[in-house]
Amino acid sequence: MSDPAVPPTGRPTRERIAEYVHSHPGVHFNELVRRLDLAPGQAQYHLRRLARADRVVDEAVSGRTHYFDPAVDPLERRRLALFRRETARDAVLELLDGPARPAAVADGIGVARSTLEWHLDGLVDAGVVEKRRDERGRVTLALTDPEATVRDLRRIEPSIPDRLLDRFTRLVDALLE
Amino acid sequence: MDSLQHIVPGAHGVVYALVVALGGAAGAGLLGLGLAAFLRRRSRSYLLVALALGALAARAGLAAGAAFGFVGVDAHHFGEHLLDVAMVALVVAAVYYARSVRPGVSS
Repeated sequence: MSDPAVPPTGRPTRERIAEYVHSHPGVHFNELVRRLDLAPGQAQYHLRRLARADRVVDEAVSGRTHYFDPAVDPLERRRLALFRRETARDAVLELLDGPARPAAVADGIGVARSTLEWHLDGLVDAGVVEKRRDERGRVTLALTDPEATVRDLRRIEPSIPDRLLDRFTRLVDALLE
Repeated sequence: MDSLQHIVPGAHGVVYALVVALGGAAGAGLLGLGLAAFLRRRSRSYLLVALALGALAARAGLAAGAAFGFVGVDAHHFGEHLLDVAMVALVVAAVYYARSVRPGVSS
């Protein structure tokens, strides 16, 4: 079978995509296209083929499609996708020091409460963070599994467009507060 | 191009084109960021912020239109002031809705 595109390295494009997804779990489509210098249609074609062959799985997290190696545990997939967001990362890093009140976390990472709450929704859903309530109903945030969280945090690094979008929403939230 | 000559005569034309191009690129980038943020949050305030950035980008489009002679001097001038008004109104509305939709008790 001949591949429609064979890069100068001689390695078929599909293999390069599979390898990239394997080494960058949770990468999203635009980033993949940019990093591997592919045409969107070409990347789409190969990703579909890879998905059909069960070599890549896609997962939508908060309105964005992320790609994973099928070997990555489904629960871990959501976590890895969330850790590509700078503010979610910062909040989780803050909680590595131990459980804290939401206001303290928002202050600690310098974001508005509304920004923190938006990211907490995803983190709580993915089972990374839990909200503990005391008898007076006051919330304390804590990591459900700090060790797994540290492991996942080390595996990924947010891209520059991810960081820009994150900082823009922080700024707007802070201005509208 | 005649329309432009009395605003930016001679060598200033090049500087004008550069400024317009720079404003257009920056405006388009900001608009993209605003739209991405709106798609993520889907709140009325973010929609209004994205629209305000759209007005900013439209201002650059108007300036480019004037440079190529598609838009007359008067229309260019009036259009820009009109977009200023729209931008201010959108930002004020975004701030207003950010307050009124905030829930009384969070978490």
